[in-house]
Amino acid sequence: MHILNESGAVSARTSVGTRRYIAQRFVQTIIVWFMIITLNFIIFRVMPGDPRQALLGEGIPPELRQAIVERFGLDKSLIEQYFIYLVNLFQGDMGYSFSHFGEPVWKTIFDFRFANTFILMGASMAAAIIIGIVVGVIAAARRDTLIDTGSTVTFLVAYAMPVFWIGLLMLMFFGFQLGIIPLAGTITRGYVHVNFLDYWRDYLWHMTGPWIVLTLSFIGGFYLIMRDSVLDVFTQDYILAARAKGLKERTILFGHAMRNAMLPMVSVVAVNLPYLISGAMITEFVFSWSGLGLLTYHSVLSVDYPVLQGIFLFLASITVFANFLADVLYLYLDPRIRY
Amino acid sequence: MAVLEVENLKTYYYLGKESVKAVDGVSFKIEAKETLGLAGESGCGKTTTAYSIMRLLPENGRIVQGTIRLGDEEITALSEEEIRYLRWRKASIIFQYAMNAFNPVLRIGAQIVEVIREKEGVSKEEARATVSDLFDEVGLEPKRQRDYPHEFSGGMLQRAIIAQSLACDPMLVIADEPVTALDVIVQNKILDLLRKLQEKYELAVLFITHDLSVVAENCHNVGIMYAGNLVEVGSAKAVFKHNLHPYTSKLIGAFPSVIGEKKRLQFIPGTPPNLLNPPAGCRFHPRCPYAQDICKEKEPMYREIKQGHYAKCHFAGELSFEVIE
Amino acid sequence: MLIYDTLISYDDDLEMIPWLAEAWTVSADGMSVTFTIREGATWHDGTALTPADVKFTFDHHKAAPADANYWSLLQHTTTITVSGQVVTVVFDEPFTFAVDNLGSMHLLPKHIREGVAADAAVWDDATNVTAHIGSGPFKFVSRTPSEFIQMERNDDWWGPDNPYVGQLPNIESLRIDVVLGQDARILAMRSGEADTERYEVFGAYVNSILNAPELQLVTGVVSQWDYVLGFNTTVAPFDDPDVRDAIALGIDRQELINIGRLGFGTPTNSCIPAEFFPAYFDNDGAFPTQDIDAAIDLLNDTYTDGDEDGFFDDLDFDLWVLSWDDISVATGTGIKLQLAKIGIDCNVKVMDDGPMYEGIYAEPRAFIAYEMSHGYSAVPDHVWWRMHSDNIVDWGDNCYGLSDTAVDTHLDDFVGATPATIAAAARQVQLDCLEHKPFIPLFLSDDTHAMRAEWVNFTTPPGGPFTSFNPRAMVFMYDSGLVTEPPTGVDWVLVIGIGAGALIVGVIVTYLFMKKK
Repeated sequence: MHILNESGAVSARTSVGTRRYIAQRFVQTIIVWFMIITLNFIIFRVMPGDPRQALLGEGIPPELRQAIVERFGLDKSLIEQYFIYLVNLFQGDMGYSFSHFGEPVWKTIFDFRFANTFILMGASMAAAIIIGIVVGVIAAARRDTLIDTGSTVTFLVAYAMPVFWIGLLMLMFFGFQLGIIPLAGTITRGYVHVNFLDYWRDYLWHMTGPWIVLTLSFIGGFYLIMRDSVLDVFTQDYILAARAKGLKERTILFGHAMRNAMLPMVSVVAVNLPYLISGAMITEFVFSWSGLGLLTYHSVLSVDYPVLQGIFLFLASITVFANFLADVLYLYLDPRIRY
Repeated sequence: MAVLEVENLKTYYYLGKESVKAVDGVSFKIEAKETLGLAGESGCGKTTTAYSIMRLLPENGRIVQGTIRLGDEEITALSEEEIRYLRWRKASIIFQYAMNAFNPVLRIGAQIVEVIREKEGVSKEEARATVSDLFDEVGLEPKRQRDYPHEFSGGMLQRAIIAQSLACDPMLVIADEPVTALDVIVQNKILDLLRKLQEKYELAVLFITHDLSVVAENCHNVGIMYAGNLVEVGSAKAVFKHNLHPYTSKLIGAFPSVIGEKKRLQFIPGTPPNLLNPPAGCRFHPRCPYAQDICKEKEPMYREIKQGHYAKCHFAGELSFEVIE
Repeated sequence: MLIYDTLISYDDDLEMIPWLAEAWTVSADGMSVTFTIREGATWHDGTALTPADVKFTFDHHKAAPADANYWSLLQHTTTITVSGQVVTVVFDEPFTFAVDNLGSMHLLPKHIREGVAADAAVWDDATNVTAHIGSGPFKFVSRTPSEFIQMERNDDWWGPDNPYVGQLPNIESLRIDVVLGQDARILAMRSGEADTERYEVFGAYVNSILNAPELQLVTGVVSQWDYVLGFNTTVAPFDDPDVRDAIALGIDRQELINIGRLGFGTPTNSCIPAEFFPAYFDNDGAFPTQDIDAAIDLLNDTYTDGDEDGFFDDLDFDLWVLSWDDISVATGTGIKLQLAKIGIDCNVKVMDDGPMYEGIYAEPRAFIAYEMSHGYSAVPDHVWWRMHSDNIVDWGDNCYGLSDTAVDTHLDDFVGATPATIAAAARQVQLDCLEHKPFIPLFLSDDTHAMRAEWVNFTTPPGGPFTSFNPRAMVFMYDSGLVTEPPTGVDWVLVIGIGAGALIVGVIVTYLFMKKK
């Protein structure tokens, strides 16, 4: 960080530094990513027993076995295998799922499961972040009042309650008793949708249950971080200055306090981003929401290593690149950070 | 009519049931174009006095008695919304640590524009033009208003903060240790600027500092505070040359003088009293070399000893101190 | 069995009955089998189903290893010929269960499948109706992956012409939904969204079903899941046959059923149990019933209780049970209690499936003893897989480490028997298992599943014990017109009540805590 003297050198130098920093971080990210790819390769080959066994699974006829062995070069040396693995990977070939009629792993993951998880998790996380931030700011501003205590208690209780239990209660009460949310699936089974809009209406209706459950379980974390962060910002001089300037309280809260308090949130959101992809296994199970969480669950049960390997790789990649993006985003959110 | 008139102000902080008597019966007034320097050790109530005037006290602080008259408004009884309306219109503050007083993630110009628009209800462009003028006035390039606080040096920030304090044409500017964080050269430039602007805009200035040399050079009148009390008020010359209160005398003696012969600095024995439970009688008596029995029992009156020269001491005018040359 | 037909099926006693094949024969040497194909059957698209389609199916499975069992069996065929309505398959050696295996293949339409690779994407295309043409009682309508499959009745089905069926399905439209989680399935049935479920109801949920007024628990039919207690016969203490004998004497099967399956089970006392394979069972191979004194006597000959802790020294062992199967875990506890009575200290170790299968099926065998279920198919060739020493431990079977040339010969005779020798061969295998006791059969869990009450008076043509994986029984149910009362709501009031109570207590406690702070 440069502190410029009064003559005020213009920031040409800093932007070069910024570009170099981003480039550096990018190279780092790529290196980490390669390490993960390699780790992914190693993990599935150092598992106890014959690696071919792990990769091939049981009950696969000899011919198909031979085909897969050749395809992955499992009869070759580890170095050669690694090379083949990389080549296959960059051609988008992550192997074949054992348990889904031998379809390609990328198809198992991306055909519809990724979209289901992404939409559900995106919607609940967005709602949780927005509600968490807004209520967190208000609660911090109204510290120790009924609003503060009330929302803290409510969100903490929601946070602490087991997700499957809330889910079951929802199914029991809203699904079965009141009949206003569906019991399972992403669409009405057996219903032929008249058009695209009708499909989305149906889809979103089916999403209400898991959406509410996930939002409830996510809010607590975001809310608490935001509240603490705002309370911390409130002790800063510029908030006192803003009050002295006679600004409206809303302006102070959302114009001054929130912007600064958002900085820790960026990291938290970045850390939570992989959830968008990995999904919430339990919630997806309770609501029969066919997403990646459920796929992971079934793949573990059916020892579907190629799919697990694919999910692991995808998740790790997202995590690594999300962190890279968060770092870059930080540059823009906090003008003090310059490299 | 005085711009600011404070009458018997008492501001207490409450810690549970106990109260800290941070400001306990303070009276003074400031006319337009006049600077009152408020000096004293840390924790004597200078800043609390300033924040009382802006009604910026923390949640546990309360004005329990007294009046504060800002222009023609009595502000102690105003609602939060009414006082919010007055802030920056009637009085503004120059903060001590300019670096912290600007929001680090917002552009400096935007932070000044925001208050102008709030108070004057003008368009963004007009407000920007005003900021440009103000920047010009305080010696900053107008185009630098697009910078972030961290891109300014300390002196520039202090200039920006001064520009901000003038943004809504106030009657009173409270300068809370405005130059303490700066080096001496920059200090002088800033102080010159302040003086110049005060002349131009006919401002009343409440200048809070613990640095008596700054007070001496910049203030028309001086108030000395000790443990929540204003112990002496008078013209700078009177207070520095013919001080009436033993504390003032000690305080001045505790400061080095750059010019004149070298001499041993005095120091004041003891520590300022705990304001949770201040001593009876005169609050200074445990540290006062001239203390008599009456000082321990009876609180001295705040009285005018000479024309415009007030002191709060039983023996004001009767004691003669070793005056510095 | 819904969209695709098979050549043969089974009745309630697991006897083969004609299905699409009207008759079949096995030659005296067991080397050739014939199927006489029903005339007049058609595919869903109206094309006639001919014996050429049957031959095509066999050839298809011989060429494309979609199913390991079919593939390996068909590698031993020398000729597959069609003559009139008769398909003849000749093998190069006798296979006892050739008819069962060939008869259970889903028949594929030659005019659609021919020339397209078995693993082509089109067969997995949910929107392609043509790719899912079969000849069964239901036609494929649509499928949404992970959601549902929609089928409708095939009104041209041959069912009414078959004396063993005699009718079309009573259900005109059939939808199979994916509902995960037993709670959600029960709610879906209670709300009428589903009529029944094809998933065995475990433990505590039996009571939820019995308490739900809309639902009926259907049980009393044995399922394919056979719980056994298996030993690693290559290590102490189970390398001593006396110990295995003593444990066999110490087991009370009905008590284990009561503990492990809440009474919903059927004891099994043979490696080819009568309840599942009545045609092959022989009473001479039956395991003894519980006799604690005899068991202790047997152990007293060799073992002592030197430290007087009430257990024989050197006989304590770890019993592996499967973590996600509550029946396995509970039954393990039952075994521990029963073995304590004969002075054996059994330590029940709950294992996850990965390490458990690894320890049982992969070299070196890490397990000492396990108790879990094995699934049965219609064909009892599992005894060969489990006990034959040729079958190396490699995700296969023979995990017990039994290595006995006489037993191997008997097993080979059993799977390669002719119609004349099969009964004796099956008897011999059961005697071998009784003699060596590499594992002790415990019980078959009964099929327990829920059904809406109005469906319960269903009639079904011969269906047999395969209900847990064969939905045929459900297909033939008819609506008896029974109307059930709407839900009384007792169940959820309790759950919501407890939930709300917990919430209120939580709020109060937290509030007090925060207030204090």
